[in-house]
Amino acid sequence: MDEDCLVEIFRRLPLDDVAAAAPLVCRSWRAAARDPSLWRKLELLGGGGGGGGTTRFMPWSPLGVAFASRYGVRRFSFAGYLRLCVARAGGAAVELSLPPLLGPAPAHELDLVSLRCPELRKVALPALSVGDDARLPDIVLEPRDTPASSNTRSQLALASRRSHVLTIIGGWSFVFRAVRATIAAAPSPAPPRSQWSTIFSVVAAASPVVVACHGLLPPRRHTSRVISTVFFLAIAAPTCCAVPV
Amino acid sequence: MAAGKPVVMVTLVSSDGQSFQLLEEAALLSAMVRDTIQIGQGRGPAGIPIRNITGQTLSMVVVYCNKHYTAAAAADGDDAADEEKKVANKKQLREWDEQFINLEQDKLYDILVAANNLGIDGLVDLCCWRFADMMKGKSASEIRVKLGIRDDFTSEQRAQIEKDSPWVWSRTT
Repeated sequence: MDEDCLVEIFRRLPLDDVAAAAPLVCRSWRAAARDPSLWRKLELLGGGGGGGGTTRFMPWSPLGVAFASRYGVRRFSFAGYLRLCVARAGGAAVELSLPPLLGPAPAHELDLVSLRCPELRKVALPALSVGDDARLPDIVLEPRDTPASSNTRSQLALASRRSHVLTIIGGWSFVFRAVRATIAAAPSPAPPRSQWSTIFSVVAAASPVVVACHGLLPPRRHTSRVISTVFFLAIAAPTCCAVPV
Repeated sequence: MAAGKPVVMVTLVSSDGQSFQLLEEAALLSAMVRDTIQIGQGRGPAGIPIRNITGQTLSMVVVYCNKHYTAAAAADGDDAADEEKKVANKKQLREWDEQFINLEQDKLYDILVAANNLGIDGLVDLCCWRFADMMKGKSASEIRVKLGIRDDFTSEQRAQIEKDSPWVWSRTT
């Protein structure tokens, strides 16, 4: 089969199949499965196979078992899988959604993403500790070694579980101070409700950062604080603001 | 369809000499036919020769084009029609597509190649989805059996694959 046709077929296949099965079928499939265009949208949310939110990357998950038996991978981990995806994308990854659990050292994964994915436009992140949160500007703002084009917009969707919503806002105030911030509501593709109850989208151009809040559903007792924070930011540096709660 | 519009037919001729007549507008779903007609060819009685595509495959492609052309024309015809009807029509067309593409993989492959050569995006998309559905969640050997693909890796290459495994990128710390 034509490589073009194969790539088109693989584009319609879940990422896990392109990673674990397609390259082992035969030589031409192996070549086609390495096409960087297949690795631009990296949907790595943890769910899958109908399981809970974190089962997809466990060593005993179908994906983990597949890697163990077919590639001789002894200890399947999300970190390794992320590395594979990022390497295959060859710097061209545009969208990335990360699972709730990044492994023992989320900092490594965040650094990898900020260094190797300069083209990212949209990132969905899990709740992070304050220290890891501080690394996010590297991902949002143009990485140091790539020329920042003025019309480039990075969109960063920050997804968190309910309890961490305020931590994340606190972390982001760093970004807000660093650049002029604008808050706008984005017409959003609805985030999966199960794990990602709160999503903040940050669209960052070289200078202004647009923060879009949608699907904002914090725990009830925090709601007023979240809203006041968002409005504060909107007043501080903004053109428009909408908070669908 | 607008009344009084002249009905123009084109003829497509398969590689084994079978000819198929269809409305020009239906044939225009194919980028290749569009280009041919644009440069002023293909309207004559000789028709448009389609190389590398047999009559059997081309007949299926023609059925697809006719169906999608009539569906689009019907949707255009009653643009004031209510949303509900439009949604129902779309759903009907999708079901028709599913039935149509429910083929064995040899035929499916022929149609995919034909659609790709003729530049019929909708049909390429449909075939690709069908193939992807066949592969989803299967291991490499299951895919090989299902699609009748020969394993052409040499044993050295196999060993290389294991060595190349993604975990070479993995942290060693």
